[in-house]
Amino acid sequence: MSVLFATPSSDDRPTRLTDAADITDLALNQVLATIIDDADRDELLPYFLAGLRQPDDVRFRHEVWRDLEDASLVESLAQFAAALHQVDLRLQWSRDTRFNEERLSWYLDAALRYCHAIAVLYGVLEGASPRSRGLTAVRDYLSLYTNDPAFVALRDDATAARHELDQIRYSLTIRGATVRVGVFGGDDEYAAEIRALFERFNQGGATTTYRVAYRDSYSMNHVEAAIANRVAKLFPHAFATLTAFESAHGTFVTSSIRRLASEFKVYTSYHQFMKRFQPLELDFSLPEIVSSGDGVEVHDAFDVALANKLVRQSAKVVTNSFRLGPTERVIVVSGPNQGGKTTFARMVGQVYYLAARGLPVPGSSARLSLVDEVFTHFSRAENNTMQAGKLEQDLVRMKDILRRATSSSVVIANEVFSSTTVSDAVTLGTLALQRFVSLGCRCVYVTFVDELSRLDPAIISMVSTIDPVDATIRTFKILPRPADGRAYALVIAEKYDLTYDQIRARVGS
Amino acid sequence: MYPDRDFNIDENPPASAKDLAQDLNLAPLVDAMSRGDTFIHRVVLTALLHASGDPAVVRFRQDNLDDALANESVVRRLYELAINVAAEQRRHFWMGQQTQPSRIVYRAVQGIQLYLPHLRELKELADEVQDHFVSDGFRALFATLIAELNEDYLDEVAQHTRELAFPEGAFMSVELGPGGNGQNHTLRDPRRRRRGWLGRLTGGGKVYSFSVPSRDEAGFEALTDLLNRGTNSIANEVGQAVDHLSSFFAALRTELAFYVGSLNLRAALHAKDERTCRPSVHRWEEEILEFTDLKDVALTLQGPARVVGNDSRATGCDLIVVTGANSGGKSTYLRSVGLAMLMANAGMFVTASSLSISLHSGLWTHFAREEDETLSKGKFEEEVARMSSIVDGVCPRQWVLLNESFSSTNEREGSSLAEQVINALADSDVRVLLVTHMFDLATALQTRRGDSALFLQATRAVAGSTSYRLVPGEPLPTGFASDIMARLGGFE
Repeated sequence: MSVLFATPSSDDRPTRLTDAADITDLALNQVLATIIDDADRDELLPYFLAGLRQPDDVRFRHEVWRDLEDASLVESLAQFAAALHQVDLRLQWSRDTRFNEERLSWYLDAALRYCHAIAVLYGVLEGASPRSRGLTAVRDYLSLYTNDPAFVALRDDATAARHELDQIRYSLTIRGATVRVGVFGGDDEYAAEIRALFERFNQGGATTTYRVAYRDSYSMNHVEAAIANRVAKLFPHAFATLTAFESAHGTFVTSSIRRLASEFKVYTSYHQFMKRFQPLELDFSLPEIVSSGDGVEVHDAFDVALANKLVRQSAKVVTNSFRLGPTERVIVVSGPNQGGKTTFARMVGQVYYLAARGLPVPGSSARLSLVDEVFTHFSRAENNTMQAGKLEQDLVRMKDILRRATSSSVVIANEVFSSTTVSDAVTLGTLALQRFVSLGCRCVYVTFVDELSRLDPAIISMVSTIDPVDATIRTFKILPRPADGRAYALVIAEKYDLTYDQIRARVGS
Repeated sequence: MYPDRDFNIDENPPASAKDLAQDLNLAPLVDAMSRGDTFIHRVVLTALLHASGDPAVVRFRQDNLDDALANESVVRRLYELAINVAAEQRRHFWMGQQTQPSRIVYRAVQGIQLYLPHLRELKELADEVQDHFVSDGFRALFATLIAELNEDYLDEVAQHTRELAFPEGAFMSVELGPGGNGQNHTLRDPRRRRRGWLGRLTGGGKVYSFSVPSRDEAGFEALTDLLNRGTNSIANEVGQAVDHLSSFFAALRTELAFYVGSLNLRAALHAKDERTCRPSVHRWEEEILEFTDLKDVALTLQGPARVVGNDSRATGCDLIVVTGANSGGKSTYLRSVGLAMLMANAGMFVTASSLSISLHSGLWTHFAREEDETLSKGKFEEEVARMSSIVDGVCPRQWVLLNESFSSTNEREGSSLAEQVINALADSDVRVLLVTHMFDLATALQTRRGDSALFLQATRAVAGSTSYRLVPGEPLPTGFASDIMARLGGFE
């Protein structure tokens, strides 16, 4: 049973991991750090690094994602994974304590939480009627498991024991060093009396809360233990039940259930990540997967790493689209600097990367092919001097990519060869692009050399643009078009929405 | 301050506040009212900047203010009392950031004991003076004090503060938590336990007791923790009781500060032998604005010279346009009207012989500025951006006061933009008072809005003098810059 892999053979730990350098160039390392909790890093990271090769594996995850369009279902999976973690914690505490009453109590609490989590998950899956192969298998498994006699006994015994403990109310009187423990039977509301006494001075303004947030204490100290010991004597039957419960049930968490919780987290953590962008009205969508000979297109996508930063500042994130026809392979991006070219290139790489992991990609809609690898070649701006060493590094890296890339690869090249003369950049760029075209891989090539965009019919041109109204405003829009003119004037009043009609509309109501 | 709700001193100032303070020169007014009392300063400024637009609220304050003016010493005594409690609280008592419930309870009990004598004092004062007041606001205040602070009640509070020291041990009920530790520790009324109810409360069963050895530090820490968990169930109530008491005196102070400020202002104006009047206030729809001998209160307070007053009748107008000579008192006129609008809306008296006014719900100013404040934009663009932010905030039933707006560009462009803005505002039920030297603009406005507009001219009060009065009159093609130039003797 798995919600990540269609067949057991594609299961188990991933073998093909993308280069760390490529991940860094695509800024996906920061993104993954946001998606995955530090505590879950070793457990979850491999799932996000490993690319899928079989379209059916991708389809298998897409089915689960479609089931998860019901946000309450995602929430349920997350709660289940969290609940299982809490169960493990309590089993640990039960093992670690030296006090009898504490050990019995934590063991009972772990069992209660486990049974509850299983029952809730099963109920949710029953009610949600999932369509995916992954989640229906889980539901069918749970249907059997919840009727298993061992599970039924665990649940019933735990409930009965807890019910007995819940009846207990004892009194404490603390005076100096002396503690008196007895059975409690009163019911006055002292706090309410005091509240009523001073209510007449309440001005209804903001009030400070003086209640200190006490966490439930997780380990028992010897005074608490001494009290618990007296309480056990005051209520002997309840504690006898508890002792019997522990000896009847041993280790109760199964390995299948544990594995399931881990796989759920791949979905829930990524879902949580996507939710961050809702306030900015940024969409994610499941890409339609097409074969490598088909055209691809993505609408309203964005650089997830940049958006991940901007979302903290509630800043606006610009979206971009791209489209390559069946015979088109390369996007050459040129245009004004600081116009979002690098961001665009990174975005394309990310979209392919995420699609190959069966994940929803940034964008309102997407049609993409499955790629074997996303290669990146990013020139570091601070090294942008005319150094032979730098040029050589660039060439070595480019050769390496050309050697390893296949027709199913994606190459993202950003300001490569910018450390050389223009004519060198033209020559080397031409050579590289011709190789990419003949190889048939997809490529984004960011450059200041615009003639590279006219090399071949398989190459399309996209440019960064400026605001048609105010040339000082950058739009960060990358559009499919040849070099842009930018001769626009403006009426200042219009820019500030101060014409008669504009003011009437603004003051209107 | 309001017949039906509390005055909120922490309300955010409206977006127009900064411009208003600068353009209308609020500082001398607010300073004269507060006399260095920063609290009055805040209250008065808030009252001036937040217009209710409701004649009932304004008349309620006017009545209270009349009462305060007639009983100056009592109002000042009440305010002193509230101030002194606040000062004593600052000196002797501070809840602080207590992290232990038992400390919270201990500190809070101290706090309550600090307030008790002042509550008695307040009650006695109310008994003594209530018959001297006639306004709804002050009558209601004294009635509340007398009803709520009766002797029995104050005695009960005193008794509770003694019990909260737990002279006979802390008594609580506890339930069993998930790990075998106690949970829901709830402190129970110690008085009931003492009255011999112990048997029933403890269920009549066995009681086990043990003692923590005197050298067991961890044990005592654990006991303290239990005590804290128990007192936590009442810490919030006791802590908030202190806050309630504190906010009670703060509210008293807040409600009185405005009237004390007005008393201060009256004294300052009397010293200058200036007259004040209680404005007659009306709803916005009545479109009323008339006054006689209205003076710029800020200018009056600031200078030694007697300020010239103006008379106007702008009832039925949604636009007032002032044109004429430079240095002709146009800006002073504009400021005097703006200040009177704010003061009348706040419920104060104004420096005039009479004032009838429709109440607004907000006031905005757009004055040409001497220097460019933002370096990133040109001066004209800065003006335009400032206007745009006014349009962002302005609503129907408000006034916008324009002083030489858009004069930083050439006259043709400036007046065409200003015309669009003014027409759009006036057509949106926003009234506009405009001072301009732009003749094109004034004539265009006269053509389009002449029926519902008042046009004023700055003229010499006496030929050759430096005093000016504003009189109704058609826009004139030029200001008198050449006059002034001549008077100054040109550039040489």
